[in-house]
Amino acid sequence: MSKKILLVEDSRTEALRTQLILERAGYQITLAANGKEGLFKAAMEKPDVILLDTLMPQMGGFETVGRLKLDPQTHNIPVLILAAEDERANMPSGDAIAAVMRKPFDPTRLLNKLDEITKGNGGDLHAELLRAQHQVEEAKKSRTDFLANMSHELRTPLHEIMGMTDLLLGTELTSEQQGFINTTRASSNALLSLIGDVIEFSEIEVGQLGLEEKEFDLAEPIERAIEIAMPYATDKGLDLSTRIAAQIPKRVVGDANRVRQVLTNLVTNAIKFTERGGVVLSVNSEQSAVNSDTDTVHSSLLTVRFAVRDTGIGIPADRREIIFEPFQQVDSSATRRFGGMGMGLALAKQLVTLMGGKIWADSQPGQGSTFHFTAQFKRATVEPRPAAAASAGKAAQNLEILLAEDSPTNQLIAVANLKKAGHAVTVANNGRIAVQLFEERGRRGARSFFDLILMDVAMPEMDGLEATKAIREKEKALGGHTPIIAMTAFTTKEYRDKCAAAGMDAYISKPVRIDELTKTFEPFLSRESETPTVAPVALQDALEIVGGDVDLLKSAVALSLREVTGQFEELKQALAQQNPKAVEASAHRLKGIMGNLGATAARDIAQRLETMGEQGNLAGGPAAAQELDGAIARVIAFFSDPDWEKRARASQGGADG
Amino acid sequence: MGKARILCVDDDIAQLTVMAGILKTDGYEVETAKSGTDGIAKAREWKPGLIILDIMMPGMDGYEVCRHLKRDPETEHIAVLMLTAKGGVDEPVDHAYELAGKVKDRLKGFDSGAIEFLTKPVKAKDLLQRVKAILWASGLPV
Repeated sequence: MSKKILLVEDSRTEALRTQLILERAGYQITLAANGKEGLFKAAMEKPDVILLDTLMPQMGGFETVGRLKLDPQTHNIPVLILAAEDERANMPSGDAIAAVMRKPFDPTRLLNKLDEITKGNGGDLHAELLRAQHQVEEAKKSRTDFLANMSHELRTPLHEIMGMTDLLLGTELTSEQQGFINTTRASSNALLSLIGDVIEFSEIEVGQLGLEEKEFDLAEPIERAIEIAMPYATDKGLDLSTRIAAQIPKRVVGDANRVRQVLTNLVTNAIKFTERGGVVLSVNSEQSAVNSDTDTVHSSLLTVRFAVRDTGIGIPADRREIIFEPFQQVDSSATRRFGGMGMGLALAKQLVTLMGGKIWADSQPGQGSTFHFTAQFKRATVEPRPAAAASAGKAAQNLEILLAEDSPTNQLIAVANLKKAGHAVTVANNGRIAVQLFEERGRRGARSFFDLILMDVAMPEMDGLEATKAIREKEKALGGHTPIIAMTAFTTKEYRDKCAAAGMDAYISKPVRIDELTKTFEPFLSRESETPTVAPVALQDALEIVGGDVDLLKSAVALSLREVTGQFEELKQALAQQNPKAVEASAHRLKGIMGNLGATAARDIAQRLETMGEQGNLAGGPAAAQELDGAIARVIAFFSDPDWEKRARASQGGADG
Repeated sequence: MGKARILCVDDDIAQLTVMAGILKTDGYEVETAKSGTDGIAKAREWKPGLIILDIMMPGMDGYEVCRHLKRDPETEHIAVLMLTAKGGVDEPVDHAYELAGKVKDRLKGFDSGAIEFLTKPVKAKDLLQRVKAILWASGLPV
């Protein structure tokens, strides 16, 4: 019987050549074009030998070896590495690798080596025993792995479906068609979250998913979960509230995302199964509830108890445990009535277990249910200093705010709240007046008179979207970017996308709460004063491109910078002439130039412009060109400072020695 | 006999300088051309073992140059490695049509007679590795 070889090689030329040589010698070849595919095929096909190229994009050869060796399904398969000479130094050591061959390899030597490896493997009794032992482990794992793999495969086409559905929603549709598409989208969303749950569930089962250990504010995941669930509750006319015990420490150490995930799951579930009444989320510290002994306060671990109570249909006593198993519901009719819930609670149970806690349900059928869970956190070492919080609040005070709002009641409330927070407010009754005020009030240096614009979306004469577009249009000539925040009662994604497309930076839902408002606009204000944190040039990338030759990079820099100004002029001209082809061509050249210098930020902006040209849509062109201008200036500044050369040489010297 | 001759064709001078520098350091004989027509002329005259050809160039683009080279009995045997800045087919994409576009570009390149692709920006290591593989497969000194 001929031996099976898995050939993992990204270069089509090399793969073809190796395949021909091996097939002629009577081996059976399976090809994989990258590390990821290699891992998958290794697990599926169980080849006798894996031949691995070390130079591959994304997952390189060495990472692939590591993963092959970690997976019990594949860790016994001998791996033969094909490596370029200069990579031998970084080779993983010892028994992970059966043999290494230098590229380009000599066919006869490769065949001899393969012969050696396959024979050695076949005769080794010890290896056979090991293999048998691992077959048992494999069987345990295979179902979970299969689920995980399948789910990954399902997710990609599903994203496509969702993307296309979104595009379709943006076209002219009859209301009947709109209804169909909305249903498609809702179903896709449900399927996507189910798939996500399956993946996470399997990851936990095979021990791949770990928890983060970061300090966080315990209120954060709670607020976040409520925020996510609130629209569903409002839709059904249910009350949704939280009760957080006062003695709960504010700051803890743990995985905020996972807490949020479990809470969201339980709260949305509660809403799903409740027709009238409401859902209450309460949070207690377990120790203080059970015993008030002082020494528990000093213990470094803290157990928090969460409870989600609803007034829904309830759960019969005999189902209260089984609902935490995958794909189980209260009864099968519930699947039809309520959809979903196949994986959610099973995942929640796993996450809670990971967090050192328990999950259980109390219920009175017909009266409602309460889902409880506990989780352990470490106490944060230092509580935040109030001084820091105060200074952060001060940064967002005394702003000049333009409020565009047509309803007198809303105007009154907003103005009162904003003034109370220490801001100055100018009111516009509609979009047209807002644009007018924006222009008339003139400017303070490079920036607009207003620090911030709050824009109602639905207004008479000129709505918020149009007004935003007009302001953004004027800014193209004037420069600057005034944050515009939409105030809207609609919070669908579609609507938010519309706001974003018009040029709005954020949105808040009505009625506007002042703390929420402050939270929303703070990031925009602080960003303006900060210097960009992303380095204009990734020097390490640039050095890799020239193979570490600093002198070569120097001449490339000199040549590139000489060319870049002319290219940018061409781009501006192409934009002025509204010529998409010319925009595409000059942006493409700028992209190439910037890419070669490791100037990733500038390269990405050029890429965006190239795509605009390619698609014939130059609407965002001038703004992007302005951005690119700034990015290029930063690249030039970076290379004008002789310091880069010193650093480059130092890093190369360090790599050699 | 020394190492193979390599002709680099690109309208971006910095790119040409970098590629030529890397290849020369590795011991290859290198010639450069700044346009498609210039490239064709140099290919006929200088007879390189490998041509590294940029796709997007003003005037005659890389596909046209490659087709031309493959029609000419003087140059048809020369291996062509194409440079693309459209991103690798392995990189993640937001939409299937983006991937389709990239694949289409590559198919077009293979149809025009190219034997391999490299995505810009090219790392020195990848460039040399790929060049060696092609030269080896064409039976030339690596």
